[in-house]
Amino acid sequence: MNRTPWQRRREPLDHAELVGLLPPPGDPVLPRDRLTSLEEHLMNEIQQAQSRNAAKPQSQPVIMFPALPPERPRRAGRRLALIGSAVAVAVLAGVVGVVQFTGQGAADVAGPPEGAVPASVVHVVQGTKEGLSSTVDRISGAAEREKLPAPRPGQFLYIRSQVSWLETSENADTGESRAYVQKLHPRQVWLSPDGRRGWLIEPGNGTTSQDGLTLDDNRQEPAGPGVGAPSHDYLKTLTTDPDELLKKIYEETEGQGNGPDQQAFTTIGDLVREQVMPAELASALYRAAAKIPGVVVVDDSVDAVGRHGIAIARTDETSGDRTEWIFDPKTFSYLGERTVQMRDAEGIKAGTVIGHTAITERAVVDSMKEIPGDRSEA
Amino acid sequence: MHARIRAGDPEAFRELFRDHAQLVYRHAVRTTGDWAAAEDIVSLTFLEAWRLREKLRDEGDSPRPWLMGIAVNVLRNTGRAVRRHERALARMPLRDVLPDFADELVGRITDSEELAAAKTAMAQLRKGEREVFALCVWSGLGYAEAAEALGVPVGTVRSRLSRARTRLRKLTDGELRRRRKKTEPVWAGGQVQGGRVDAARSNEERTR
Repeated sequence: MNRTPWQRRREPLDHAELVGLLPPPGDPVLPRDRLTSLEEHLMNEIQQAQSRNAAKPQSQPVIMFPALPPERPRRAGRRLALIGSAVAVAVLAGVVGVVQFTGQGAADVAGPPEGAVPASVVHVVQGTKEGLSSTVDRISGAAEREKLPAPRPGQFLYIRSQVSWLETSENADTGESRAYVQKLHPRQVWLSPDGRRGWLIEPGNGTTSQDGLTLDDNRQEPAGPGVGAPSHDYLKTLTTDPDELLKKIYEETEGQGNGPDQQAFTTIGDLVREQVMPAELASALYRAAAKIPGVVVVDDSVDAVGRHGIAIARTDETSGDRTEWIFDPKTFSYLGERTVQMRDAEGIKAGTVIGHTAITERAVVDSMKEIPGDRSEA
Repeated sequence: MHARIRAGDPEAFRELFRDHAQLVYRHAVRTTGDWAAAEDIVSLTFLEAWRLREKLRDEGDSPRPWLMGIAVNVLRNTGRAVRRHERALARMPLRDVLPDFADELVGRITDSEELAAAKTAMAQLRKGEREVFALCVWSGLGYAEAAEALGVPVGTVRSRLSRARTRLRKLTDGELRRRRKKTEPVWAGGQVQGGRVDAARSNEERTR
């Protein structure tokens, strides 16, 4: 190395030696056709984001990633129909916003991201298999009795909830992360029975305005419905035999998520969370869920608005968090959901509540953005 | 370019993709050892870039450090990101590249041994050191670029590289050294370190 001293000062490390110590392994090259299709994918997503944005002039310039589906964080969401496949890139906005504090500032201390609060940590009650079948019987029975009017074509399903999801804050230098959750905030969704139209109002997640945004499926060739992308109309076609249902769910979700059992549980959870479910199907889905290995009863849980209940739950072996579907202890109707970290993982301590919802209203309304009853609050 | 990216000009993103997708891909394959995951990381990186476009600052000649910073962040949270974004990935075009398959497969078999050995060696390093090493030594970013990508001072980049060197030197002979002889000549187009690398360089030239 014949470098002049000043160059040495600027380059204290011998680059050739570094390369020699551990050369770049392999010569991976992405084939050109693959590169092209990834490019097209990107351009399509961008175009869709732009057309959505153009459709609704807003004061805020960046609503390109509109709807944040209430999918649980750090988990595959299979909620295409629910949130509208229109929201193609929305998942990228990430319910789990990773707020990186690199860049301008130093990587020292970061407060909570805007609109977030430190995640609460709860005492974790262990689940048990005991009482699972009788509990599920009651829940299924309640689901069968709980009949909502079936939507007619042109009408909309309306679901109102209170939600809070994880945001983590990560120190880019140390890799240390801290768990914050969004402040509990209202969420309102309208969905057409065929799954093609929808509207979301959820300003509290920072990505929709007060007016909300469209969930219309504006793809030219929408994907066919499936258990991961159900419309209400599609749900009506499903079998109400729990065993067949479960088999179908396993088949359709094969290879997805964190293992087949967890993915089946997640899929059912996604189905029941924000939907106006045909009564017999809801009943069958709960019975199906009870057959999934690892599903337990948790005697006491609490939903996002503080209602206590009994829960059907499963711990995701990979991420170490347990999702609990919470039901009223007397009527056994669905209240909401809580996701608790069961072991320290990815910087999140055991007992941390990383997702919390409470469904406060399900109804059928005549038009999009119509609030049931006389409520003026939107 | 910076202004066009910030303004959300789709053609600017096409350019950004064409100039850097291969670089992101190579970086991702080498750091993960997983070809399929690397494709996802490419897509995730550019979609994230679109989302974060307004945060691009007018520093430097090229958006490369900014983009690689995003890639690093995606890689850093891969487990989490993949689970979180599985749906977006599900919309990615399926692989249907049968004609190239044989070629590609041969390339992969050749590479896999090196990738495995590199992974073992990298495991000796701390996370921050690994990131700096991969950016500077494997992906050819200058120290200043790596510093910008990682959001750390240049001094930190140097000290991490220095520690990485110390640790790597301690590695015993064996697989790694044997492999080194084989691959060293490949990296003839070594990088100029310390100053700003010709940042706008397209990666096209490095495709085989």
